[in-house]
Amino acid sequence: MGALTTRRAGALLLSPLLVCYAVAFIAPIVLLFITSFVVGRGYYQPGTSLTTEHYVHVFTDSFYQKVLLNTLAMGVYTTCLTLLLGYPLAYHHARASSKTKGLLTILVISPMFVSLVVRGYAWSIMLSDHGVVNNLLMWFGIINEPVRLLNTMKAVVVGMVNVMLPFMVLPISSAVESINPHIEESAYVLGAGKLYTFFKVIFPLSLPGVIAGTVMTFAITMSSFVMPALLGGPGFQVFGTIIYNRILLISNWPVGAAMAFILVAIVVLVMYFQERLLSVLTKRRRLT
Amino acid sequence: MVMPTERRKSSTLTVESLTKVFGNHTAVDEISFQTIPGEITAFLGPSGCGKTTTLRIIAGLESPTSGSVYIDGEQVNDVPAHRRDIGLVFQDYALFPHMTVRQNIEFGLKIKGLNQQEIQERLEKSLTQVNLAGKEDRYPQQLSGGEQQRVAVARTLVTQPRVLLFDEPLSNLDAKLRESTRLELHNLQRKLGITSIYVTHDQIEAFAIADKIMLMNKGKIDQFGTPEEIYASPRTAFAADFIGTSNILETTVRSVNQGICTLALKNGQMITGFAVGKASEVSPGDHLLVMIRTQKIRMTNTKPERGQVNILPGKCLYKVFLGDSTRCLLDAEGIRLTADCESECVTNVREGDVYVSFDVSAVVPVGRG
Ligand SMILES: Nc1ncnc2c1ncn2[C@@H]1O[C@H](COP(=O)(O)OP(=O)(O)O)[C@@H](O)[C@H]1O
Ligand SMILES: [Mg+2]
Repeated sequence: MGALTTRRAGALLLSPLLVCYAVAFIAPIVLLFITSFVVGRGYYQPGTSLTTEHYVHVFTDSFYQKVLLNTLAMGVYTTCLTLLLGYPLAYHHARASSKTKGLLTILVISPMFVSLVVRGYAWSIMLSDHGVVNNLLMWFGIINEPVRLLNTMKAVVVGMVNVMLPFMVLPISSAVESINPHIEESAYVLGAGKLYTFFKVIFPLSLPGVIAGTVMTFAITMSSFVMPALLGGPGFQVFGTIIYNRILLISNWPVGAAMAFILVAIVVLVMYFQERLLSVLTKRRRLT
Repeated sequence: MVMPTERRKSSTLTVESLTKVFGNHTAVDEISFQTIPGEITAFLGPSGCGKTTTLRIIAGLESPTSGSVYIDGEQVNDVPAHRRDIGLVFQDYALFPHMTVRQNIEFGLKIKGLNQQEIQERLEKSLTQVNLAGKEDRYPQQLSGGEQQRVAVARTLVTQPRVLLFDEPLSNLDAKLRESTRLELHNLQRKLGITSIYVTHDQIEAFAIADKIMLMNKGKIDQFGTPEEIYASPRTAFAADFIGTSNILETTVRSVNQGICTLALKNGQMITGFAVGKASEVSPGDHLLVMIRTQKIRMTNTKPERGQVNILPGKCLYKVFLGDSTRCLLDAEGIRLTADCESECVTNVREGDVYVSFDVSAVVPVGRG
């Protein structure tokens, strides 16, 4: 009885907050969701008829298909590159002495203190035809004339890797940190070299962190807007930039809304598989 | 090279002036010793005296600041851990949590490149050896502490290492299991004849399992010898204090005569001991630390008749009944002594005025005060 009343009182106390949440977060999403089914180009008003044609359009029109492929490619490349660059950093971060670790932590998260837009413009200067990157590549003799980087996926992926690195490094580092160093040392003493130990022992044991980092990176990259807008421009368009274009520039609300929910669906699907994978891992391998 | 099959020649481990400095702290200080092939040597000492560090240097997990490690006469300083052919059982077992018992045990064999049939044979043999048959498909977390410990041992033994290292392998087990596991370990080591190092801070464990004891204090070797030697004739006050329970007394030499020394206690009372070991080169006036084991002290209400020496009048402050023995705290005119007497002998001794006595041989010189 007592517990029940306490719980009821708690719910009552929370209710103003819940109303705020409902109004501030849920209502716009619900409205946008309905809008994605509205016939024509406007947003939802009582009495308008509904259709699924915008979803069909996004999936069948070759322009939108290209944008979808661009978005997926950007997500996959960014995630793979961030993992490749982030894992060694995470490993050293996890195994560093406390002094070095503080320094590394600051280095890893310091980009987050600089606004995305500033970083985007900085990269756009670096990656331009006569920018630092092209000049360096030519100076080393790797290329003979400037390559086009800006307004291609290359530039966007470079920018996104820069944005996503902390999101990859921190979960992997905490996973590596939770591996008892004696386990690694046992492998060495049993005759395993560094590489064998890495692939058979350390990497499998750090998988929960790897999965968390890659899923987070993939999800955030897929729905990113600033870096694709600044570095991809008209040459490399993704869901984020097209949604912005459709809704804010040409006022085609329903298509923009449909694309937004397709994006949400992809991210939710990926997260669902992450959840499944993690639970299989923890059950089978008992990594708890 | 001939593949080792059942058993091979036991190896010799030699350590020469091993030193390890961490920052400004010397964890291991000029340690040198040699093991006899097939024997167990225990590193015994209080926590923080450098036992684990020494072991890790031998295993190749830590590099020495100076000094060398030799296995069968071959210097292995520059051989990385995974090529040293050494086995190491950690205190926390460090099993691979994502592998089954079988996979844990096969880990070292697969690296050696043995064929499937030999792996299977060795696996089965070691499973029976450590009594884990039928549990090979479990994950470490599904095993009890004792079982995990046996997997750690099996995983190391199957690779047939030249030297086996144990770092406090029993300290995470409860007291009962510790004793039976210790016996099993001892038997297994005897049967396989692998030269072993056994690190422990527990004197009883070291005595029970080891052929030789290397007593360590503050990174240095305090004494190296058989358990019997170290118990009977500790050469330093530290050894006397750390091994068993004893009273350490400061004395001044009064006379040395025909192998007998007469020593003055701080309260002026005289005691007598044999002029052996540290007492063989003293002359009157020298200070000498002597040890008397608590079990060697007797306590009576009446003055003992036999033996005219080493009888001190005193008071029994209190008695603590411990079962077979009774611990008595004594005050012999200002000198505190602890005695462990057989309970039967002291049940009738009242607290209060008593006579404290001990044999001449019970007085063991341990240092030059
Ligand atoms: N990696 C290290 N860095 C700094 N000091 C260490 C390190 N490892 C051990 N020590 C120090 O060396 C001394 C000996 O440690 P250890 O060999 O673990 O002792 P034991 O095993 O006898 O308890 C301790 O004072 C410990 O603090
Ligand atoms: Mg230790």
